[in-house]
Amino acid sequence: MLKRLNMLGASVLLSVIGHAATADVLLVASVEAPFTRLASSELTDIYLGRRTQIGKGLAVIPLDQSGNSIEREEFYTRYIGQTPAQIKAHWSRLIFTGRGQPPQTLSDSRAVIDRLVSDNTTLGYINAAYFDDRLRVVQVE
Amino acid sequence: MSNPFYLQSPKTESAYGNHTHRRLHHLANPVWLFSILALLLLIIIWSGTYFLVKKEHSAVERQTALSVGEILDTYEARVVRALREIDTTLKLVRFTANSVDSSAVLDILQAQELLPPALLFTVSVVNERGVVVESTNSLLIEQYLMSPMQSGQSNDTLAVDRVITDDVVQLTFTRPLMSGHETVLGWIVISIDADFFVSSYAVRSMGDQGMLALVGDDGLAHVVRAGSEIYSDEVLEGTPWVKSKRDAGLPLFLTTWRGEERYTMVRELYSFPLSIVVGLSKNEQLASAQAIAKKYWQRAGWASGLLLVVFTALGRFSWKLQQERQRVMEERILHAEQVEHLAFHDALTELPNRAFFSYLVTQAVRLGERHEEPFALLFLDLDRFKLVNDSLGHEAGDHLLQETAKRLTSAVRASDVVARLGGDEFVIILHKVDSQACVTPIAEKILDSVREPFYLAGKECHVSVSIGASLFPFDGLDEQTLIKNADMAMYQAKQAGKNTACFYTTELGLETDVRLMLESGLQRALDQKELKLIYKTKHNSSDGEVIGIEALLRWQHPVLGLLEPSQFISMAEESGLIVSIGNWAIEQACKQSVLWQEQGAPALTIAVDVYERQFYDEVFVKSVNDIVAATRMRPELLELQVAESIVLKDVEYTAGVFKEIKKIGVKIAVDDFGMKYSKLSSLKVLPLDVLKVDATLVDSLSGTYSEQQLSFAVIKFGQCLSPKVFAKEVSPQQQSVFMHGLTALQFHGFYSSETFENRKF
Repeated sequence: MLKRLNMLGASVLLSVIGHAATADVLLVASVEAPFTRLASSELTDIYLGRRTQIGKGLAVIPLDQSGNSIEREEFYTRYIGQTPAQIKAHWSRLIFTGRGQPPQTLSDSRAVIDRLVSDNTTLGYINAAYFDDRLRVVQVE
Repeated sequence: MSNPFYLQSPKTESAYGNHTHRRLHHLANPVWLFSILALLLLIIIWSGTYFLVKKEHSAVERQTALSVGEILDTYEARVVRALREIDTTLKLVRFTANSVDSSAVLDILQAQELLPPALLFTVSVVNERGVVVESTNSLLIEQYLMSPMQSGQSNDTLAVDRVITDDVVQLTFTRPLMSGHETVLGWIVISIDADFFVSSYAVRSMGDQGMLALVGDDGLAHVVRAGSEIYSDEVLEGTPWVKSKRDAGLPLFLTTWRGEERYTMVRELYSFPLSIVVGLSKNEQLASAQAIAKKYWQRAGWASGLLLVVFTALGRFSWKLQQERQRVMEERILHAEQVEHLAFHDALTELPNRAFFSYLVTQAVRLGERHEEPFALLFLDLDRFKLVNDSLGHEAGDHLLQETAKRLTSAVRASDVVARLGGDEFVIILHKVDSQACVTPIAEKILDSVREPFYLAGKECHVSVSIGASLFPFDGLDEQTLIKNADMAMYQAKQAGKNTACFYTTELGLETDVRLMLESGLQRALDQKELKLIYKTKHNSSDGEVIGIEALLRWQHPVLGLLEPSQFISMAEESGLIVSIGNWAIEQACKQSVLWQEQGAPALTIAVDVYERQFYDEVFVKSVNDIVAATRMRPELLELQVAESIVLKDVEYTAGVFKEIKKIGVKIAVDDFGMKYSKLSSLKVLPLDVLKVDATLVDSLSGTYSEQQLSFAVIKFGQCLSPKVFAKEVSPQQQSVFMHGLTALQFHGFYSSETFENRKF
């Protein structure tokens, strides 16, 4: 576990060196959350509204940050593999055609953490700087 | 003779038959037949293909209309739902603002998750001055946000505007924020990217060139998505974009926008100042139909090609077959025509032949009887044809006949008929000629034209023609009589010295009848012993002593009575019977002489005439020898009389014959001495026994002095040639002349005119 954290820390460091303007983003959930790891496709599906459950009926509620935050851009680029513009177009289509609603948007990492802690079915991404004991990094495989 | 008309009729029939046959052939002509058939099949193929393509096309169009309608319905539902949500949010914000005394209306609603997703929708509250006092997008707060259209608007309607910020087109939906229903405190604005309204574009259902558009009531498109491109503020051309009424049957339009033809439908939205447009690319929709059509056209092309190849091959084959058949047919017809022509025309001169001429004369006779039209028939015979043929060869003879045919044809009118009967005999029918006076000039013209020199085998050659003419109806009422009479007249012309024309007369007819009777009776005369000899004594001119006997030939004709040689000898010469007759005469004379000897009569010479053909017969000498031997005649008592003309004809031959005859011991007399003075010198080479002076010379004795002197001279000349000279048919008066000149001329004798038959004298 720690080892993994270290690895993450190293990658965060690398990314900080690489992109000075970008924030280090972590995918996290409450430590009490029933899931500890997600497949990459599961994560993408959850954030793009294609599914609301993982495994055998385990509901996961994704949380988003407001449109112009750095964490958001970082998260979608790195974890979902799409630009914010693509995400916007995606949700545009889904909302317009009435097939889904985007994840709930919270104003910043702090608000996301509060929500994660209060509801352990939720999943979110935060600036690594705000990471604390109540949270657990969700492994993406 | 067969009727040429019957033979000719197939020709006219065949000509007519040929015509109708040809017309039928045209219809059944394989070229036409196969062309028409191929054309029909081509029309069927191509019209069938066209029909199928059209059907496919219209099916696709129908399908497209359905698709556009369906898409339009769906699109309408989505747009309306989105608009309702927006409107509802606006009303919710206003309601909340009016009911909650707080400046953080949006926060309250946000907390309750009553606002649309902030990701797309930006909800702002603007105060009456146009400044954003509250917004889901914190960046907008304190910004001046007043869409131009909203200034001064106070009635409670949903306003839709286009706002372009940083190249991003946004649509703003605005409702006024009012207290009660009077004062406008500000506005609630929801802005959203225009793209949102065309985000339902799906390539799967609309293709790469489909179109979705949201159009404002000003006719300008708020947003248009065509394929992957998004446009705003575009004018969509054409009335259908704007004027189309909702529920007005919603026709499908074919519109062109930015170079793309589309099946388009427009629908005005109920209760919103907006219209929606859905279009599907014509090319894309018809692509499948066009692919199918292309396949159909290709197949039609292949089928047509195959059809053309097959039909061309068939047509060509059939055409060749028919050509061949026609060629054979034509050859057959040509052959038949040639055969027919040959049957009725002379191959050498191309003139009608005897058969055809006979038919023509018969026709002329019939017409003449019917219309009382007289005509003349000329019978022509070339005078020296045999000579030309013998001396210049048959080729020259043929050429002469051809040339003559041409001259004859050009000498008469075109309506007259010139025909060749065969050999050198031609006949001419002169139509509408009623008298000899009319025929004479034509005959003269013919004579003149034939008299012109011919050039045969490189030599100039003079030929003449003898013409006999008979007139219908005067000289005969049928073909045979007319021809026969013309023939007689022609014969008369020959007799009259040739190169002339004679007309048939009744007398001529009679004469000819007699001649024919003689001709036909000669052989019979020989067989039936109708011929006989009579005898005349010869007397010496000085003392009247009988010095010999002359045998004279007579024909006791059963009908015509006793005939002189002059009446039948020429015919006998022509037929060749003269050889037998002459030999018979010699034999008969010998027998008679021998008989007389036995009866104790004195040994007198007996003179017998020898005729031309008999003399020139190659076995003549042998015949004489045989007769002398057979009759046991004393040869020195037989005297053969040969006319001077015969002797002089071929002196060499004559000399040979005379020599042979002298060997036998038979004497030779030349008769008619003095007719051909020019060749008298030839006589001196001949071993003659007797000369008989020609009767004309004897006649001259009773003429003028000079004539008498001439006769004496010739007789004297004869004396030099021959030991004995005779004159015949001497009258008592002439006899005295001889007597008078006897001392001077020393005539040896003469003979009297007494005649007797085989009686004892």
